[in-house]
Amino acid sequence: MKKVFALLLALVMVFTLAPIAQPAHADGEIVINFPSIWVGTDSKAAYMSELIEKFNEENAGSIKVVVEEQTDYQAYRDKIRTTVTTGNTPDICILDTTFDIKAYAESGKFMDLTPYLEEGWGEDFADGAFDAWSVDGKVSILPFEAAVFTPIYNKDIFEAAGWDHFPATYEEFFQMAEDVKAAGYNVMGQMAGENGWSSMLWYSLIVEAIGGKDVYADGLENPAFVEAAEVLKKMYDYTFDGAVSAGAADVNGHFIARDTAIYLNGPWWIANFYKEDNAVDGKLLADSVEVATNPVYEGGLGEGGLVTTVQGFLAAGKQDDPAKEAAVVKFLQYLTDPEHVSELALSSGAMFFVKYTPAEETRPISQKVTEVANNAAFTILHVNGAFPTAFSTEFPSALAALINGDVDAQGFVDQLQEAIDMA
Amino acid sequence: MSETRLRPPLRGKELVLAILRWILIIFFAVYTLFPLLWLLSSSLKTNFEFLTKSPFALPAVPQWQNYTNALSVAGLGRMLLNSVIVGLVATLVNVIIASMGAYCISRFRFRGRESIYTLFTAGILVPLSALMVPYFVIINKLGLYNTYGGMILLYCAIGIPMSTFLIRGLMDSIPMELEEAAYIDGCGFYGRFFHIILPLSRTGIVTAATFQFLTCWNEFIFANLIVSSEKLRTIQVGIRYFTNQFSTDYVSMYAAIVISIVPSIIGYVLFQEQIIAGMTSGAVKG
Repeated sequence: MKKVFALLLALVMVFTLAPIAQPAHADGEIVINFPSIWVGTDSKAAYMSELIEKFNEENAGSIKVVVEEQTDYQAYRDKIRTTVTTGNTPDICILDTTFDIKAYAESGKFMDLTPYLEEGWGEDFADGAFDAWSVDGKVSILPFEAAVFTPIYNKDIFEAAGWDHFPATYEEFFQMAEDVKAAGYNVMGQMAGENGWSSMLWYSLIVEAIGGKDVYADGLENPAFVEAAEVLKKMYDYTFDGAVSAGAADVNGHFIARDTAIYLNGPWWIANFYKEDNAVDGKLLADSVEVATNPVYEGGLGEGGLVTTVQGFLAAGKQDDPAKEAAVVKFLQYLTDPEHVSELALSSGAMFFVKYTPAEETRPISQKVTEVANNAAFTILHVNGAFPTAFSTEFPSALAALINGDVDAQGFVDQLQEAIDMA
Repeated sequence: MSETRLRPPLRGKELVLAILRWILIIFFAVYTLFPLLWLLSSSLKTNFEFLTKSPFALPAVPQWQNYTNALSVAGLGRMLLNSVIVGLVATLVNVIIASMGAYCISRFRFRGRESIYTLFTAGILVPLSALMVPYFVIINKLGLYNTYGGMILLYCAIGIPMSTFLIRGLMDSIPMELEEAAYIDGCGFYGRFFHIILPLSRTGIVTAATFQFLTCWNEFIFANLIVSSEKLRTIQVGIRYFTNQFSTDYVSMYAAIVISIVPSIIGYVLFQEQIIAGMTSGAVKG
C-alpha cells in the first residue's frame, strides 16, 4: 500500500511540476512574450491576431511572438503590476492611464526606445506624441492608441420621442431626456459598477462643458467638479434600472438592444455598430446611429472642447540580451508600421498616435468621429487620465455613494480628493 | 389490533409558531434558490430577451446552444479538466499536510504549540490579493511559473490554515484513551496516526477537503497570475472571457457560469452530511 501511494505521489509530482512550455522552438529562435488585452471579443483582436501570425511567418525560425490572452482588464492590470514590481516585466505589454506611466517610465524596468525612435522610427508617430510621457528626454513607453469621446445617439429612438436633432445645450439635453423617457426608452447608459467607465466619461464631458480647457489647472478645487457631479446624478434618473451596480457590458447591451438612446465610449467600439450579430431585423445598428458633439453648458467655458485620452501605451521590458532587444524592437516597429495601423484602424474603428493614411473604405461613423476630433477647439483628458490612479480607483465607490444619496455632490468630490491625498 | 397514533392538530400559539417557522423556512429556501434559478433561466434566453424582457420572465424557447457556445468559444472543456486536475491534487496534498500538522498540534504537548497553531491558522485572515507579489516571487524562484505544480503548491498553501483549523477541531474531540490503548498495544507514531486518528477524523477531513476543493475551483486571481499558457487555464479564467467590457453575450456567459458551478454543487450534495458534521464538530471543539 505504501509503495503504491509513493508511486502515485511520484507520478503526480512528475506530471504537475513539468512546465507547460510554449510550443517547442528551433534552436536560436527568440520567443517574445506578449500578454495582450487585444484578444477575444476586442474590436482589434482579429487584425492583431492576423498581424502577429504574419510577423511570425515572416520571421519563422528566428523570432516568435507568443500572445498570452487576457480578457479581463482588471486582472490584466493586476498581473502587469505584479510582474513589473517583481522584476518580471513581460517582453511587451499594453498599459493605460490607470498605471502610473511616469513612475513606470522612471522605474528602469522598461526598455529605452529613444535610440530606435531617433533612427527614424519616431517620425511615424504624431508630432509631440512623446512629450508628456518621456523622462529626461528618454522614451520607454509609447503612446499608441488614442481615443476621443463624443456621444453617439440612436436616431430611431430620438424620432420616436419627437426629436430630429441632438441637443445643443445641457438644458435642452434634459428636455430631450424627459421626452425620450416618456416614450419608454432609457436616455443613456450609466454604470457605477466595475470601474464606472461610462459614468466617468459622462462626468468628464460635463466637467469639460462647465470648466473648459483649464478645468484641471487647480485640481478638484475647481467648482466645475461639484456642479458636474450634480448633473451626473441627475442623469441617473434617465438610465436603466440597476445602473448603480451595472458594468460596461450592461451599458453596451442596452444600446445594442435599442432600448437606450445615447451611447458614450471610445472609437474602438465603432466596429460593433457594423456587426451583423448586433443587427435587428436585418438593420445594422450603424444605420440607426449618428455622431453628436458634447452639448454646451449654460455659463460654461467648454464650447467646442473635446475629451480625449491615451487609451493604450506599448511598453517593452528591459532586456539583457541584445539579440532579444533587437527582436522586440523589430516587432514593435512592425506593429506600429503606418500601413498596419491603417488596417487596424479600419477593422476596429480605433484611433492611433501613429501617422497613417485612413483607408478609403473607412466607415462613415469613424469618419464623423475623426471630423469631430479635427474640429475641436481644444482637448482635455478624461478625469481618470487627468488625476492620479487613486482617483480612478475611488471613482466607482464615490459615485455609488452619490447616487445612493450617502453623499452630496460636494461630498463626492471630497471623497475623490481624500483618496488622492491618501495615495 | 394495530393502533395508529396521530399527532393532534395544532392550535392557538403552537399553530402560529408552526406557520411562522414554515414562512421562515420558505423565505430562506427562496432566498437561496432564487439566484440559481434566475441564473439557469437567464442562461437559456436570447440576449435580446435578457435585455428587454422582465428579468423574472422565463425563456420563450430554451436556447440550449448557449451552452455549446460557452463550451466552444472559450474552450471551457479543457479549462474544466484543468480545474479538476488542480483541484483534486491540491486537495489531496492539502489534507495530507494539514492532517499531519493538526495531529501534532492536537495530540502532543510541546512548547510553542499554540503559537504554531496560531501561525498556521492566521492565514485565514489574510486577503489573497495581499499575497500576490510574495507568492508570485516564490513560484517564479522555484521555477514553477506556468506549471500545474505551481498552481497546486500555491492552492495547497492557501488552504492550509482553514484545513488545519477544521481538522484539529475534530481531532481534539477524539478521546486520548483510544490512542493510549493503542500505544500500550505497541502501536507506534505512524500506526496511531494512520490507523486510529485519521479514520476517526474522516468527517473533519472531508469538510476540509470540500472547502479546499471549492477554493481551488473558484479561485481566479492566482489562476490568472501564475499561468500564461492557455493549456493550463482553469474554468474561472475561462468565464472572464465573456465578462470583459467589450462582451455583450450575456447568455453564453451565464451558461458558462452554470457549467462552472455544477461540479461544486454536486460535490456539496454528495458530502453535505460530512461537511455539516465536520463544521459542527469544529465549532464545538475548535
